[in-house]
Amino acid sequence: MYTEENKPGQHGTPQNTEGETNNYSQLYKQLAEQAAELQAILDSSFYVMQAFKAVRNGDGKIIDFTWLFVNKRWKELYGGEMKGKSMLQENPAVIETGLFEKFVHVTETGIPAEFDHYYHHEQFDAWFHQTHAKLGDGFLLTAIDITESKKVQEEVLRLKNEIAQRATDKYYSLFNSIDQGFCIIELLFDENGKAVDYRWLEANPKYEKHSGIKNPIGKLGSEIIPATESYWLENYDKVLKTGKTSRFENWHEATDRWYQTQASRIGDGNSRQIAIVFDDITERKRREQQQEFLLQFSDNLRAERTADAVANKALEMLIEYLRIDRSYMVSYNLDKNIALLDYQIGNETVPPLPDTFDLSHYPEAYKAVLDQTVVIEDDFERQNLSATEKQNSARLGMRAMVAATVRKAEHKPLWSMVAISSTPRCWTPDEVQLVEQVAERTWTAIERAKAEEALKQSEEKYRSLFDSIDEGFVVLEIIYNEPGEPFDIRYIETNKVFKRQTGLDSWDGKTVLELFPNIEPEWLAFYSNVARTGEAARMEYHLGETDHWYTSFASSIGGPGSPLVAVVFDDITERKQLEERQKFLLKLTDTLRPLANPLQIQAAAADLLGASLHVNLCHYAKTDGSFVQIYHSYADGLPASTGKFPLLNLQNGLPQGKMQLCNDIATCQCVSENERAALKLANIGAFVAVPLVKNGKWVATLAVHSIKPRQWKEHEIGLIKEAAERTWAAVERAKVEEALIQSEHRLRKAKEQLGLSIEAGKIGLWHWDVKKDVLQWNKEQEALYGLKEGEFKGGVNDFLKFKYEEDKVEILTLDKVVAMQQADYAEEFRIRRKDGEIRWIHSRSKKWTNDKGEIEYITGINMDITREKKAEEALRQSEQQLRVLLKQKDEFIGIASHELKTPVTSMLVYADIVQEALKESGNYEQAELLGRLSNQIDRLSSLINHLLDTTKISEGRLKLEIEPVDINTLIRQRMEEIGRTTRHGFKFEEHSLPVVMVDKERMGQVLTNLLSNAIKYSPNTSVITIKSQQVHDYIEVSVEDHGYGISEEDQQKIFDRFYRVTANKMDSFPGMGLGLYITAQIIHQHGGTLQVKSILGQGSIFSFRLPVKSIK
Amino acid sequence: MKQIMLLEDDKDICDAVILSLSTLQYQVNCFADDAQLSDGSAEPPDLFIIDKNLSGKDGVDICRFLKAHAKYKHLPVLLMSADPDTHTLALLAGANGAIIKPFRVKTLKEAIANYI
Repeated sequence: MYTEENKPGQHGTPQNTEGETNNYSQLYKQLAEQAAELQAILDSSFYVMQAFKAVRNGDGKIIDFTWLFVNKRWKELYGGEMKGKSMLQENPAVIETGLFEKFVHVTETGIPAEFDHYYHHEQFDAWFHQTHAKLGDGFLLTAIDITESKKVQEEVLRLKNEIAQRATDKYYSLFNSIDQGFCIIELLFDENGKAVDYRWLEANPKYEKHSGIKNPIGKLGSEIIPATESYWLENYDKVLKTGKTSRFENWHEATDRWYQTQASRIGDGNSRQIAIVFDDITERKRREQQQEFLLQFSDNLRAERTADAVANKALEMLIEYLRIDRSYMVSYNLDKNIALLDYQIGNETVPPLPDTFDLSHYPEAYKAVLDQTVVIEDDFERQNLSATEKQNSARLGMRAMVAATVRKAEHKPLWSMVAISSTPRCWTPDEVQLVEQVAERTWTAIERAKAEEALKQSEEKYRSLFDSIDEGFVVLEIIYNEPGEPFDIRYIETNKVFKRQTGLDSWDGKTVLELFPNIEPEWLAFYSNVARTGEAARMEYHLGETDHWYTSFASSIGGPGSPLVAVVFDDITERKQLEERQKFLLKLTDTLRPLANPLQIQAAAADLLGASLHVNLCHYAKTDGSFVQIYHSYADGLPASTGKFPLLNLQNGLPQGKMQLCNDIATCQCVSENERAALKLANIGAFVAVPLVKNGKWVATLAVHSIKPRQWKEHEIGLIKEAAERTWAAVERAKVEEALIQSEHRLRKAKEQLGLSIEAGKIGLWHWDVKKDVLQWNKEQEALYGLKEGEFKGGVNDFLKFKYEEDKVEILTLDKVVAMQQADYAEEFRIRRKDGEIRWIHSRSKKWTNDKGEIEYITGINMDITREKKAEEALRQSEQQLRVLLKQKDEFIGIASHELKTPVTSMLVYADIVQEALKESGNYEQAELLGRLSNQIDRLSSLINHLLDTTKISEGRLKLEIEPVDINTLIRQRMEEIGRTTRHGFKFEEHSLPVVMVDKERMGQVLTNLLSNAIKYSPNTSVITIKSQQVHDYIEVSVEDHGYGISEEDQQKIFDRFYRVTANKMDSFPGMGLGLYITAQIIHQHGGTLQVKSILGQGSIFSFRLPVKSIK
Repeated sequence: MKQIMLLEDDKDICDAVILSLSTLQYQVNCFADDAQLSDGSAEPPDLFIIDKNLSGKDGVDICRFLKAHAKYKHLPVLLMSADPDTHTLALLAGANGAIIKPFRVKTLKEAIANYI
């Protein structure tokens, strides 16, 4: 911003004339200095600088320039002072180079110019980069010699051209050397734009060769090939118009060759030039034809059914395709060194070969066939041909040959396919390959045909098996409905046995639903499952009509997903009956075993048998003189007959053990007329009576009766007999046991004497005369060791043989006996019984001494405790597993609860912060809600603490920080804390207590737990009484409520982990059942005790005691 | 304003502590590890709160380190942990006090007020 006094124009303007001269001289001096400075600046430039002043004629037109100055650079390069000199005199060439015009232009217009200029006149011969700028009535010319960089540029350009030239050269060398014919034609059009002819512009030598056109360049298509079809012109025209390459293949008949022509436009849409690549594709075409032949070949071979037909067809086709005279297949037996001509076909020009010929007679050149394809173009030209060989060859009529061999491995030829020509022939590689391919394919086809033949044979075998096996055999097809679910089964094939088994003849083609509309769905499920999974399955079933059992073994035909299933049916009635019988007898034995009363045994046996056989009456009748005694009858539809009955007929054989069997009372000959009448009266239609004769005495009869006549089956009779035997055995056992019981008091006496608890039947007795080393065993003892009665003899070493070899347990021996101090001796050890079974034995013994105090003999018992030992072991294992599981659980809880705490912390603090904020904003209701949230989070965290404590306790990590504590103060503190959160009132009966050494925090936890439990379980009452007192060396604190109370059963468990009491009225209390567990553990760790006294419905008193003397 | 340095790698807890102390004249600087302490570059605060379970580092060790370091050993340290036995641990570690997680804002404030 300029002020009036300080305008730029006024600056330095003289204000008065005083001392003017002085001022001017000073001014000039300054100017001269500035000029010198300017000159120095210009001189220091690397550029050549010249300033010119225009010389104008009378019209003001510039006719020349004169130098105003040149800089030092100029002078260095070109020398001399130029000031005042004429440009046209010094550098007249500026006119012809057009520079003068440019100089005038810049002077007149003031538009600066900048360009590169080559100046080679006068003293200059260089490239300059020039700038012209107007300077007064003239211009400043700045120039720099850029000749060097220009030269580089030119070199680059030259190289570029050279490369282009080289590319062209390369193009032509390629053009001339490629295998494809290549030409460029120009399409000619008439005035209507219709393509009418073409002219060759370029053509390479191959083009001339392939096309047979000599020197086509410049010639017209119509000239060379007058009969050119219009198709070609149209095609070329299309290539030009669309720019799309056209490609076609054509066959040249005269040469029997195939060509591929590819025409593409050169340049853009206005171009009329087309490049044509012309390729001989005869080889490829032939290969294609061969491929086609091979496909046809394989198809034809596949259609043939037998190996012979396949071979003949193959030879036939090969001859026809290759136009050869003979072809044969030859296999080799290298062990015998012979070749076998399996098949051959041919014409008379090559006579047939013998069926077998010795390979040693084979020409050497041919032998290579064993390992490779042999190609002979003219057999007569072979090297080292002996006269005989030549003769042989001539006789064979073979001149050319291709022999291809199919090999299993090296030197293991399977066989060869040989193509023979009677005239020399130049085999192409494709033809050789064809023979190889044909050989390979023929072999495959023959193998397939052989396999099919074998299959057909096995199919026949299958058929004969199908019809001859003893089992019913059926092939089924599962029928699926639209959604793909199985809904029916079709019989595809059924064999004779199946038809016989079922008594139905027409199965095949019918479906299950047609034949058995009411069939159970599980059959469909069974078979469709086999079809779906592909896994075989077995099913057993009972056919009510025939009372026969069958097994159906179904297996998939064709694997998973195939609808076909093969099923073998087998009549397993016999086996099933046996099983049923076995099952029944087992049940019978199990039922009778625990029964001690013979009458009960008889009754149970009769009931079981009667129900099993579906008879109307069944009983076990004891023979008693001339009476039979029946205590119990199984009765179903007939009145039970019990009591004492006189024997009607002693002539029927029963007393002699002869079974009586009657299928029909009306016709049976086995009963007397009296009996028949009596039985008819009793409404009995059929019966079986099995007598039991023991030691020649008829002791009892087991009899079954049916109202209806019944054809008793063999297995049923067998069952009755067996049942009778077992019932009798059970009755006898019971009697013996009863006798045992009778003599129990004697036994008890013996037991007392021995100090043993003897279990009847399982205890063996032994007696050892120590001095004589004679060991005596009773029969029970022998039975324990798997021995027969009376089998054991010998001394203590004979007993030691039974000792289980792997056991380290020391067993009573002679040496030990001497050392034996105590009167009684007990041990457990394992034995290997005679039958190899290993058993645990418990042994107890007592020694007997004579007057001198020497041991005379030892008496003892053995008991089999194997079962107890096993149970013990199982228990031990499950205990161990349980312990591991508990440990894992504790670890889990420990980690989980720790992890839980972090989020809980955030929740709690945020809840507090928000609650505070709400209070501040006067939002008390919502603050109250958040307070509740905080309380719940507190609860959650205390639960987590419980879990953590539990883990610590069970891991033994609960550590106490012992300090002197006044328990009464602690109680008051906790009461106060809890009292704030409950409506319950606390009554504290306080007695003075000594200070104890406890963990204050943990003891506080105990009090809190007990107080909150009391509150929790007494929701309907309100007073909780706390009492503290000293009892001897203990302090005792009790908490009493008048709530639900705890049942006696629960009292046992409340201190367990995770045990929760479910109170009456189905009230449930939140919590994990850890509080009391932790409480108890803390008390225990303090050396105290925790107790509960409670009556259900009246309340509970929890009390703990702590020793006054501190804990460690 | 009193400076509290909190070592805690759970960002939520950091934020919770910062927020709950924001009304008081405490400036809480939260760090996920003890890098600044172990190289001694951290300016001594008025109080340390050290979480026991820092990822890769036991807070007890950090407490011991602080109590052995000339620059920090006179400063109060609170050990913070979810372990109910944190008080014992704090004693063992030479810390001045303990804060058991989860804690209420009130508890936190009281614990801090005891030392600064």
